[in-house]
Amino acid sequence: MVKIIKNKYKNIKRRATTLSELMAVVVIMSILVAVGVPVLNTVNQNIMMSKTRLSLQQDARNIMFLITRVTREAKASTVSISRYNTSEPFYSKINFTTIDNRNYQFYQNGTNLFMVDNGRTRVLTSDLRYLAFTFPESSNLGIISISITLEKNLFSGKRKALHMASEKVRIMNE
Amino acid sequence: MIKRVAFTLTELMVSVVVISVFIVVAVESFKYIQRGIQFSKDRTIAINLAQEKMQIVKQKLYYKVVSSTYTDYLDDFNPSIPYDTYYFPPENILEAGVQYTRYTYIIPVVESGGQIVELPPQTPDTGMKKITVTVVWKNNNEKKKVQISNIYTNRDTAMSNSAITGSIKDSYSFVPIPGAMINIAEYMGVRGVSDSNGNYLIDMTPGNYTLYIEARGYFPYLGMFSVGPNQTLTQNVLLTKMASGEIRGYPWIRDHLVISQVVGSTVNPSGFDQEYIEIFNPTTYTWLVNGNVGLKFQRIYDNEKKIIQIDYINNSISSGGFYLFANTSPVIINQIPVYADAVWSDSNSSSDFPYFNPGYNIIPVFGDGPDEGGGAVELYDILSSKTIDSVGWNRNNGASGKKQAPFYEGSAISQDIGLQIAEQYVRYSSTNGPSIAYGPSYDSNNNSVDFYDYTSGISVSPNNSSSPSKTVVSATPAYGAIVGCNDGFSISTNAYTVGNPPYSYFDLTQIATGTWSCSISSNTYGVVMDTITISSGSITSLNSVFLDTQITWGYVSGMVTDVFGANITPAIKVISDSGSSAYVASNKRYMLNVSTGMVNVTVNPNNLDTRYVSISSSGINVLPGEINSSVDFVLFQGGRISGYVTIAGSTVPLGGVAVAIYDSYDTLRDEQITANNGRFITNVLSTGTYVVEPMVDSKENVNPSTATVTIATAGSTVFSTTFTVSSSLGYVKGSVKFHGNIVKSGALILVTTVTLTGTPPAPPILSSQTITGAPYYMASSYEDGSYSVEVRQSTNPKYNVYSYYPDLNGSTFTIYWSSKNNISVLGGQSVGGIDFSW
Repeated sequence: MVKIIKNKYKNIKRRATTLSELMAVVVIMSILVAVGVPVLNTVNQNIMMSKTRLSLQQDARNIMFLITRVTREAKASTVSISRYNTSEPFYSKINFTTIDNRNYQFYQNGTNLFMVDNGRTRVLTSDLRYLAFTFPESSNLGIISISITLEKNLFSGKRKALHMASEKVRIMNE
Repeated sequence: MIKRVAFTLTELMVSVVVISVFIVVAVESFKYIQRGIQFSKDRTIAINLAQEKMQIVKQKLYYKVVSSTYTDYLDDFNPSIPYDTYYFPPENILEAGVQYTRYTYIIPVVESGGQIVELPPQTPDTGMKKITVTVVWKNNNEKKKVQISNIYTNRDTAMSNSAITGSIKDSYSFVPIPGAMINIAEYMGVRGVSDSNGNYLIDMTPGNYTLYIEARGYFPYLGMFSVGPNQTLTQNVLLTKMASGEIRGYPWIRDHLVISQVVGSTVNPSGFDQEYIEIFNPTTYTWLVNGNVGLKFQRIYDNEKKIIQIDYINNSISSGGFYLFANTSPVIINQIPVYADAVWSDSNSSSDFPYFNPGYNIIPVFGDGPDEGGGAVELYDILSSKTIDSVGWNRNNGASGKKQAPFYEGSAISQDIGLQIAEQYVRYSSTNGPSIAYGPSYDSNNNSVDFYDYTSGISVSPNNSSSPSKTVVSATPAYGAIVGCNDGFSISTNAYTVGNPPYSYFDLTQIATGTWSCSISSNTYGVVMDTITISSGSITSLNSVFLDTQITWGYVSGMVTDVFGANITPAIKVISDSGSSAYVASNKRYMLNVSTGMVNVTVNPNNLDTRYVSISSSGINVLPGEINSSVDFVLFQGGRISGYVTIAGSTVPLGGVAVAIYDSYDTLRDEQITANNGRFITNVLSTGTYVVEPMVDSKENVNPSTATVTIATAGSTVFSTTFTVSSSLGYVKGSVKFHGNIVKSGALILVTTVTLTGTPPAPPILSSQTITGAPYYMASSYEDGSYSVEVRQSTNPKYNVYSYYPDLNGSTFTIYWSSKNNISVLGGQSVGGIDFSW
C-alpha cells in the first residue's frame, strides 16, 4: 500500500520544462514578435502622423485667427504687401497700422513665420511651408486673402504632414 | 507534496495569449480614440468651411444673393436638408485629406411678432434673407453635418417702416373678434392675429397689398389697400357671421377578425365532449383562413403558447360572416347540427395538449385536472406570426400561481373556477351586450369587458361559414381619431372615450353650411365621406362610423380666389410636391390627396394662367387621413418684366448680373440674375410701374443705369431694355504641378496686364502709395492644386499670368516660376486650362 502511494507521488511530480518545449516557445514568441513589431510600428507611425497633423492644424488655425483678427483692425491705406528679403517668396510679408495706431508685420523668413507687434518680434511657427498675402484685386485694398501652409517632416523625411488654411479678410477701416 | 519546479508550457502559452489579448485591446482602443479625435478635427474644419461660405455669400451684393428657387434635398438627414442647385450649387472641398461637400440654401424671411418667419422662395423680396450653409462629410462611413444660418438684410431697404392696424368686429353685434387671422395675400407668412379686443397691428414695407382676414365661424374678408412710407394705415373690418352646423358620431376601427365565441365543453347527444372556437369577420373584405389563420392555446400550466394543428375544411370567411373551429363536425347544440369549417387535426400531440387523446380536447375545463379551467386562446396570422385577436380567462380560486390567464387583452375574463362544462363566452355585438341580430364584433381590447359569460348551457348557437352574415354595429373604438371637414372653417377635432363599456365619440362643431368631404382617421385606418351636407344650426348624427380603409395619405384643402374674393375661371390648377394635382372647383375650393409628412402646395404652378401669380405654401404637416382645410390662397394679377444684359461694345451676353426691380414706393419687389444667355425674367408682379436696375459693383459701369417699365395688362411680359455692362468680372483658372505631382502646399498666381521684369519676374510691393494704373489680380492655389483668379474683362491689353512656387529644400526655399501671355478674358466668362508645371 505504501509503495503504491509512493509510486503515485512519483508520477504526479511535475517535471521542469524540456529544451524542446522551451525552443517551441522561443519560436512562437519570435514569430509573434516578428509579426507584432511591424504592426505596432505602423500603428505608432499612424498615431504620430495624425497627432502631428492635428497639432499643425491647431497651429494653423491659431495663427490664422491671430492674423485675421489683427488684420481686420488695419487701416486699408496703411496696408503693404512685399517680402522680407529677395530670397523669400513674393508677397510673403504684410505690414499695416491698425485703427489704434499699432504697427504690425507678419512675414516669412525661411520656414519661420514672424510677427512684429509694435516692435516686439516673435516666431509664430517654424513649420512654415507657404505663406501669401494677396489682394484679390489690387485696386481694392479692403480685402486681403491669406493663405498659410504648415508642413512637418516625419520619420527622417519619408512622410510629410501638411495643413493648408486660407481665409479672406475684409478690412473694416479706410 | 507537489513541488513546482518551473513554468509549464501551458502556463507560458496562457500568459502569451493574455498579453496578446491586452495588446489587441489596446490597439483597438487607440483606434477609437483616434476616430474621436478625427471627428472633432473634421468638425472644426467643417465649421470653418461653413463660416467661410457664409462670409463669401455675405460679401456679395444683396441683390446677388438670390433666393433658392431651384432646390434639391439631402435625404441622408431627417428632416431632409434643402439646398440650392443653381445660383449657389454644392461645392466639393478637399481639406486635410477629407472630402467635404458644402450646400447653400437661401430663402426670404420676414420679422413677424419678434420672430423670423421663413417664406417660400418665390415670394417677392422682403429686404431680408436667411442663408443656411450645411457642410457634410463622411466619418467612419457615416454622414456627418454642421449647419449654420445667418440673416442678410438689405441695407438699402427701410425695414418695416409702415404698418397696418385696426380692429375686427362682428358685423351684427359689433363685438370684437379675437383670434382672427390677418393675412397679406402678396406675402404668405406675413400675418397677424387679433388680440382679445379684436385689434391687430402688422409691420410691413410700403406698397400695394391685399388684405385677407379669416376668423372661425365668419365669412372671410378681402380688401385692397395701399400703405405709404412711414404711414400707419388703419383698416377696421366687420366680419359677417357664417351659418354653421355640426356632426357627431361614434368612430370604430374594423381591421381584424375577432374570436366571437369560446366553448370548452358541451356534450352532444351521443355523449361526445364537444369544444369549439367561433371567429367573426367585422371587416369589409373576405379573409383566406385555410393555411393563413391559425389558433394557439395555452393552459395555465403551460410555459408557452401551443400551436393547434388544424385540418381546414372550408377556405375563407366572408365580410360579416363566421368561421367555426371545433374538435368535431358537426357540433350539435340543442339538437341542431352546425358543421365545423376546420377541425383539430389528429396530429396534435398529447404532450402539447394532455386531454387530446382520447377525447380530442384541447381546451380543458374545470374538473379536467387539478386546478384546470384557466387558459387563453390566440388567433394568429400564420405567415407573419402576428396576433390577430386573443382571449384569456382566469381561475381565481386555483392554486397559487395558477390563477391568472397566461395572456389576455386588457384584463382576462374573471372566473372563480375557470371555464366549465356547458359554459360559453360570447363577444358583445355592441356596448349593449351580445345579440344574435348583429355581428359579435365589439372589441375594446379588454377581454373582461368584451365578452358575455353564459354559465348554464349554450345560449347562443355557433355559426359557421354557411351562416347568414350579420350587420356590424360596433368594432374597436377609434379613440383619438382625427375628424375634419374641408369646409375651411371648422377646426379638426379628436374623438374621445366615453361610456362603460367604453366607446369613442366625436363632435365637430362650426362647420360651414354646404356639402363637404369629411374624413375620420386613426393611425393608418380611416374613412372619407364625400357628401356630408351641413345646414344652418343642424346637428348631423353619423351614428357608428367605421374606419375600414387603410390610409397612408392625407388631404390638403383650401380656398383660392382672386383679390376680390371671387372664383377664377378658367379653373386654377393646384399641385402638391407629392405629385398630386387638382383644379379649384366653382365653389372656390380645392382638395388634394397628398403623402403624409411635410407637404408644399403650389397654386397656379409655373404661372399656368399667365394673368395670375404663382404662390406656394410652405411646410404643411399632414397626418394619415387628416384634412388640412385652411390652406387658402389669394391670387393677384400681374405680369412679368424681361430684359437683356450684354458686355459693353459687343453683343456678347453677360450672365450673372443681378437685376433689382423696385415699385413706385422704391420698395424692392423682385430680383433676378441674368442667365448665361444674358436674359432675365421676373416673377409675376402686380400691374403697375416699376424701375429695373442692374446691380453692379463700383468698378463696373452699366448703361442705361435704370429703365422704367409699366405692366399695364395682367398676363403680359414687358421687355425693359438691353443693358450694357463694362469692366465686369471673369475668371482665369488652371492647375499647378511640381515634378508631376499636384502642388498641395500652395503657389502664388498673379494676373496683370503689366509685363513684369527680372528673374524671377518681380511683382511690385503693393500699398496705397504704389497702386496706380493697371491692377494686379492675385490668388493662392488650393490644396487640390487648382486655382481660380477673378479678373476684370480685358481683351486689349491682354493679360499675363505669372505663377510662383516656392519649393523647400532643407530649410531654404527655391522659387520656381512660369508665365503665360496674351490671355483675353470676357466678363462673366471663365478662361480655363492655364496650367503650370515644373
